[in-house]
Amino acid sequence: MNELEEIEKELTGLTPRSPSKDFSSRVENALGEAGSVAMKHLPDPNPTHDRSQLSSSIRFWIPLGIAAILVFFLSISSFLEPEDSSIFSSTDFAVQPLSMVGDEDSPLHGVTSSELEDLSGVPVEGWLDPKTQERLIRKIDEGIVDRATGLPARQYRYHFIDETLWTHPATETRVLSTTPRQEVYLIDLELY
Amino acid sequence: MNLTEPIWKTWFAKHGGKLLLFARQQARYPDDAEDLVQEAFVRIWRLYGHTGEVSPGLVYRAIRRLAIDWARSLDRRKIREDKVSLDSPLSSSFDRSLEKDERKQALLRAVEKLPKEQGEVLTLKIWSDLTFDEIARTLDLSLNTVASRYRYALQKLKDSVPREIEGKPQTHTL
Repeated sequence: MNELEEIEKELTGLTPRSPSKDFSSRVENALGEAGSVAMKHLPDPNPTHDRSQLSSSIRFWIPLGIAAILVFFLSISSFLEPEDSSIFSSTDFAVQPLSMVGDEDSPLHGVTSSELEDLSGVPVEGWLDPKTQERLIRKIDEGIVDRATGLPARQYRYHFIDETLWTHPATETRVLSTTPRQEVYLIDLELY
Repeated sequence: MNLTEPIWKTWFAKHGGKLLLFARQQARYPDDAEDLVQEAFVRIWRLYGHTGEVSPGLVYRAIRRLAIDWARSLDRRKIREDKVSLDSPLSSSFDRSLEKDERKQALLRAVEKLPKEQGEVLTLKIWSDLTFDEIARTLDLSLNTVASRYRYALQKLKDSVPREIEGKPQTHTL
């Protein structure tokens, strides 16, 4: 260890005095309401009580967890085991008509547009241009973050719902699609 | 039992002493240190305290800027005399246990004699636990400047402390 490191170590060994009670209560008065905005939940002073609660909750959940895993594996195995193996015979795939794989306009592979129309009862042609709308659900202040430059910025997260409405006047059909979306904004902060 | 405590109290108990030490260096008068810390901390906590987590660097920066503002207003008034800190040595900001330790006292006297720009870097590095990068941002300096000031400060302490101790009368001999 060189001499500079020794000095460094000596200095680190000196502890600054904590703020006095008078000063802390002065700060508390000055903070006012702002001082009670963020609270910390302190741990329960009785640790044995915690352990008994924890162990009883574990005793409750472990059998349930094992049962859930068993049910899951049983259902998976019954699902994978075909009731009639002839369903998956290669001859069935071989007899598919060529028309079922050749329609590029169809949204479903292997099904033509006309077949889709017949099966679903939803017309393929005759839809109006879709109407889109953006709805703001909420804005969340996520506090202060550091930008890559090191400067502080306040982060806001906006939750939107994007709505798209398709209308088919001939059949009076309306299809409403909703998609959630988030946007994050960073607003640079100046201390003063 | 659902016990709760304002987060600022835990935060302040951890960082308050370090902030006071830094404020003491930044303030023109030692008596202003508490006012500086209170003003800076309250401002920052009111802005960001609801998040429950405030970066100490923000408060250090606020202290520095406030100290500059206050010094400017004092310059304009030109009222007080510069009392320096003779009536309140740096050691008064540390635990009382070191009052009997001559070596540590000498070390702190030497810290106090450092040029201000070296002393503030040393304080932020040693007692505020800031990284060089955080210090550079707090003091608006480059990383290289911060690192070299820190090195010069340590070098000066190394050179000056033994001389200071040797110059004192040896009361414990005989």
